[in-house]
Amino acid sequence: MMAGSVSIAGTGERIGRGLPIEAAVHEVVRDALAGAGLSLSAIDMVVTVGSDVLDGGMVGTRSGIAGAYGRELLTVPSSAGHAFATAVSMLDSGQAGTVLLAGWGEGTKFAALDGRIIQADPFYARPLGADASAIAALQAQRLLADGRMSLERLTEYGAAMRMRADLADDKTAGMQEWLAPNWSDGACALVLAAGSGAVRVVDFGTAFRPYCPDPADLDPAVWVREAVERIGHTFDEDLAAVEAGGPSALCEVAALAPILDSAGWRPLDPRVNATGGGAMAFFGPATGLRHIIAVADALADTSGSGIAIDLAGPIGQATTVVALQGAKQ
Amino acid sequence: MSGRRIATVLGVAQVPMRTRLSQYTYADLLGVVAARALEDAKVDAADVDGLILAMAPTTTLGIDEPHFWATADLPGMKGFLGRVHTLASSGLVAFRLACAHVAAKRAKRVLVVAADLADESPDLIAAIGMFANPFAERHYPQSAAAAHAFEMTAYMARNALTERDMAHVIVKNRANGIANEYAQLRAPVTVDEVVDSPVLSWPIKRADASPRTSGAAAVLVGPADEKGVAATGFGNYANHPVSGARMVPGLDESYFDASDLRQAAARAYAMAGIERPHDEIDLAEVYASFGIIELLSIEGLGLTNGGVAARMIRDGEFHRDARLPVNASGGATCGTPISATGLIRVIEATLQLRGTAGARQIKHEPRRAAVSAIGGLFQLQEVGVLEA
Repeated sequence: MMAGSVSIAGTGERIGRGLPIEAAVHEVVRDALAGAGLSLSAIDMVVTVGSDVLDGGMVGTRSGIAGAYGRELLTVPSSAGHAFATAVSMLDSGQAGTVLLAGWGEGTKFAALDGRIIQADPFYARPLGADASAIAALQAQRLLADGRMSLERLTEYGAAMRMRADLADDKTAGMQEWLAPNWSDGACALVLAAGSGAVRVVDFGTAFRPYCPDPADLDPAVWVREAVERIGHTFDEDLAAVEAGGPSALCEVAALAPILDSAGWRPLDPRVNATGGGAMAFFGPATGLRHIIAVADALADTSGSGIAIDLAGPIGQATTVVALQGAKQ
Repeated sequence: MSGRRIATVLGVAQVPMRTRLSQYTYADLLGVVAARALEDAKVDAADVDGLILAMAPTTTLGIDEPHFWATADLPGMKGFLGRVHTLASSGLVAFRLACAHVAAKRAKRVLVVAADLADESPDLIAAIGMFANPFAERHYPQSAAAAHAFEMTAYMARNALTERDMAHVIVKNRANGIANEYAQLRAPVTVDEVVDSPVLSWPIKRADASPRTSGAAAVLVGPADEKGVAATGFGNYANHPVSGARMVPGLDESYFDASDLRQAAARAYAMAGIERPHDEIDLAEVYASFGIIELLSIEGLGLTNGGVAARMIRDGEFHRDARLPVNASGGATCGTPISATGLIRVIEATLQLRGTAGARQIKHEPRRAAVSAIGGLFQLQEVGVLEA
């Protein structure tokens, strides 16, 4: 396992519907810098994550608001986990001393339009493939048929997350609570720095499957185990907070299984997904930053450890596991 | 003096660039260059534990999020580390990220792949124009040719240069492209032919511009202690996306004087221990989709002073047989698949430093190369330093 030499120094987040996204990006960056006790001039590098499609633009659209002008800029739109990994490796390899990691997404755009048309084929404006809910349903049916998941557990988890989520009043047109992604707008920022801080980055691990994986390989638990193996750590000591953010609650509860089984926790433990999970406020590939922040906040002023699982992609197959630890002695 | 080795280029591969590569799908292209890069490195696929896709913009491909459907069974796929999107600098930035993950010991061998099929869209310029707002289907009002015409006009006026003076960089590159079996344009042109080619947006003519290109490239990156060409420095500089904000006299003229690139180069050179780039760099591969960009890049990289690159090229400097060749491959004006073009700069520099560039090999045994790429309309500058 890598000895983590990177710490999270400051965080900021805004989640909501109809969020003025430019203002939100500006505010979360300001909050993260204030939390770190730094001014923008102290930042060496900016890493951004945001869907090309959700953004409706390209690299520069919001990078300036995120503080990129005059600094180094990398844009990694595939997932929050990948962007976080980018920031950590840039620091660990000595290519930067301070990194501002910012992500955003206007998920409510997807709620208003057929996501397949936006996602798939702008030249022909023709839907391509199943939409997100249909893909999640296929994944659910497979896990239920294989006996890897019980319907009761899914339903219970989905209902609990909905109650925890800030957006609990939003209806999902009668879809199962464990299936439907709840589109939201959001912006998040973290300041990461080389050296010690209140919350240390222990390590990260990634796992990935293309679209669509083999029918026998649809279980996020398998992907999480694979990512954890890359870290080489069992997380069974001093575990204080666990977050999982994915496109559906089904995906999250399945992904949580290896961590919770190892720790002996129930999915409804209050230390699990205090945010309500990613599916309750999903704003595209940047969503996972919110869960890294939630774990970091929970670990501040503690010596405990925590796990954030980012599940990007239609069925969460771009998996990143981030291990954090509070630095209090 | 050599810089600290960050990571090693273990293997490289590209395919001949063409307007149309109808024998390949996008996924095929990635697979072909991935396999060839591993063959070049003599590394088994099972020994690759990380993968990065450089892909930007997805609009030209017509399908979003290609990493989910085009990476199946690529080496390192299960340890996918992300898709990089910084427009035409994506390939070089992805290479830098691979070096960072290896240097941080997060992965041992990371494969970087990139491809473009530019003929997938019936109208590439219109597709790129839809960057701005696909929901409203509103086109971005400024084409690349029009945007860089501002630069060229200013450069000519400030330095008292004619259109003929400006044409020599294209003549040089097209002559270099003849020896590059991967180049899309492999026929020489004369100054007259450049000047007389159709005007796209004055003073930029068709011959000043890169062609519309399909192509692919891959680079396998490994630990610094392995044998091979090493990355020893990186630097990057981001500025405002609106080019007009960088044309303000006395405040920010980086759109005209390449001062942003100079900042990126300073960062890369500091990391690589370079103090006098003109004396310490043996060759440069710069991303320049228009002739004017190459002139500004030569100056921004500190290979000469500002405003003199065009005349120096006219007089024989920066040619392949010169002391400090720039774009000995022919550069992007002989072919530039947008997502892969930054990687191709790395590949061409690597081949030169290895001494295996074939007919386009520089004769003076180069030891150190600078590579550069630009994202957006001069918005994002990326510079790398490679050493034999």
